[in-house]
Formats: sequence, structure tokens, C-alpha cells
Amino acid sequence: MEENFAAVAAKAWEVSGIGLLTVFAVLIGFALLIKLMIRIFPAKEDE
Amino acid sequence: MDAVLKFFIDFGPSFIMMIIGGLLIFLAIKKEYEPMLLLPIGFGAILANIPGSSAIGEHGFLTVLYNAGIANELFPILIFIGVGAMIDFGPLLRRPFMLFFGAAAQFGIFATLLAALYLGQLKGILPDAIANIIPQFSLKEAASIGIIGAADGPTSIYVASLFAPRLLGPISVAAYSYMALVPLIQPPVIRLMTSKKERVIRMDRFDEVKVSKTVKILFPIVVTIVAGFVAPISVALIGALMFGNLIRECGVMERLSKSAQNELANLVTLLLGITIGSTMVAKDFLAPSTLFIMVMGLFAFVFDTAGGVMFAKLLNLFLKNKVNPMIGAAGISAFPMSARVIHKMGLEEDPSNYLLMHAVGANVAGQVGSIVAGGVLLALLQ
Repeated sequence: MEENFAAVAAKAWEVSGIGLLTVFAVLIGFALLIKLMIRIFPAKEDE
Repeated sequence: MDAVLKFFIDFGPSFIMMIIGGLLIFLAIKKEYEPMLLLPIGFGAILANIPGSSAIGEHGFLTVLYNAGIANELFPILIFIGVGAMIDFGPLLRRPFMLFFGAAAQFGIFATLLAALYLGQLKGILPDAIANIIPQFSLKEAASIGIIGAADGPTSIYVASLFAPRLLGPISVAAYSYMALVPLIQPPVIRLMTSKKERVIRMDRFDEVKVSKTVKILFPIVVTIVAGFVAPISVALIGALMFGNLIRECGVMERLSKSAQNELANLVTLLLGITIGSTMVAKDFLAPSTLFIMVMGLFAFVFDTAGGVMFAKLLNLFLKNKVNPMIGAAGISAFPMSARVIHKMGLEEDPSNYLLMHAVGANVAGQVGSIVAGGVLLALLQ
């Protein structure tokens, strides 16, 4: 039971660590994409 | 006397659930806590707990709705189309930097996942009388409890219906209750973690930055494709939200955009609420796990707020133009409550410091962040 929990806990730490880092990576990626899109498609005067 | 006692033993739990349903209706009407959800949930709970109720069971209309819209995750997805049509990503597109806070404020999800999992380990430490009521959650159940910290009802329902259908009722009630309580939960946490000097930091104006219509149209499409490649399982969630946003921004579907924002969102919200309420049957809901889920949900919201504030403080170590750390707390998905709370707190500290647009940017980033976090959890644990 204890060994079983140790495996589950290890998976939980892995999911939490990788999960949070992935969220950061994806959102930073979105931020860069927005910057890029704004540079490629700048707003016209009348927008 | 025995007959009365037997009646209470048999039907007592159902009556308690009807009282809880009544309490949710009271909070919805009197306190206006998320009335669009808590009122249908409360009434659904009453319908489901009337002894011999025809509303549930094989042919009960609530069971039919559950199978048609919750068990297959259809209702949360449809809600996302409506939500997407309501969101103006403008403040976020003008300052994409705010996406940092949308990520940092998801910290509570992962902290709560671990806390919920380790809760069961207290059994070996505490006296038997207390240890016996402590639930042992599986990893998927712990993740479903953690996702309350997304501060996003449909995401919580979506993840819980996949990973922990038996906990769907308490998780939904916790998610929507704490979203309504953001004005009470966030300010003390923010005050505890920031100094007066930090709370009066002024931020530069950013409304000079203009965003073209092309970018507003491309944003939902690009986000869907990128998120889809990172976590294909999140395509339904993010895709529905971004589809709603695309029909809003494209400029040629005005009528359908309005329908998504109003008729679709209202109708599905109504059905979603009453169907969630019907899952709150006494034998499942009146369990110690419900109490622990409510506590863990609060824990998630507190840690989301703390995560956002701490990340803003961390960034300030490196930034020339400092960020008001309260903006970090607006990175949770509870829109627009959290942005309003931060704006109000800013005005209380300095009546000429307007943080609203910055807070709205972070808040919208939080909506994207919470869905991405939900998708990532699904991808890692499927």
C-alpha cells in the first residue's frame, strides 16, 4: 500500500511540475505569437 | 414513535439535501452569489432528493439531461461557445505580457492536486476517530478537486465529469460558490502578501497600442491550432471557446454571435445547473469527502491568488517598469469579478490609480490559462 502510494505521489509531483511548466510554456508561446501577429498585421489608421 | 424515528432515518438525509438546495437558492436570490448557476443547482438538488422523485431514475428528465449533456461533456462545451462570444480579448492582445499572470495564477490547481492526494496520508497520523472520516482520493479525483482552482465552472465540470463523476456535485458547487466569493477571498490574501508601497504602484497606460482586426480574427484560430498540437485532448475545450470568439470578431456573424452570447449560453446554463443539482443525491453528497472538497476548493483559490501575486513580485525584481503585484491576482479565471476586485483595491489605496484595464487583461489571460491548465491535466492523466 505504502509503495503503491509512493508511486502515485511520484506521478502527482510529475503531473504538477510538468503541468505548471507546460501552462507557462504554452501561454508564453501565445504571448510571443500575439507580438508576432501584431508586428505582421499592424492596425491601420482607421482601426 | 418508532415509525417517526424510522421515517427520519430513511428520509432524513434527503431532507438535509433539500435544505442544502434551499440554502443555495437563498444564496442565489438574497446574496446574488452566481444566481444563474446556484439557483438551478439548488432546485435540481431538491428535485433529485424528493423520495421517489420521477425527475431522476431511468426515465427521469434530469437523468436524460445528464446522459445527454454531462456524461458526454456536451453542456460545458456549448457554454464555452457562448463564453467565447462574450470575451473581448482586446485588453490581452494589447498587452500579451499579461499571459504570465494567467499562467502563474493556475498554481492553486497543482498545489491543491497534491494537497488532496496527500490528505489521505493523514490517516496514519491522526487519531482513529478523525482518521476514519478523512477520504482517500485517487490521483484523477485529486486532479478534479485541484481544477476547482481554475476558477472556471465549465472547465471544472468538464474535467470532473471525465475523471471523477461521483464528485461532480460537490466540485461544481465549490467552483461556483468560490467564484462568487472572490471579492471576499482575494483581498485578505493580497493584503497579507503585499506592502502598501507595492499596492500603490502605478502602471503605464497601454491603450495607445492598437490591434488590427486581422489579429483579432487570427488569434482564436492560431490559439486553437497551437493548443491542439500541445494537448489534442484540449481541442474540444479551447476550440469551443475560440470558435465563439471567432464568430464575435469576424464581423459577419453578428446575429449568430448575439445568439451564442444570449440564447445559447442562457439555455445551456439553465440545463447545466439543474442537471448538476440532480447529481447531489444524499447518499453521495452527504459524505465527509464533500466537506473536504469545499475546504480544498478554498485552498485552491487562496493559492491561485498567492501564486499570481508572488509571480508579479518575482518579475518586479527584474523589471524596470514595475508591475502592481495585485494585478497578478487577477490572473484567475473568475471574470470579471477578479478584475473588479483588483481595480477597487487599487482605488482604495490611491484614488487616482486606475488598474482596471491591466486587471481585465490579466483576467482574460486567466480564462485562457485555466482552459489550458484543464487541457494539460487531461493530457497528462488520460
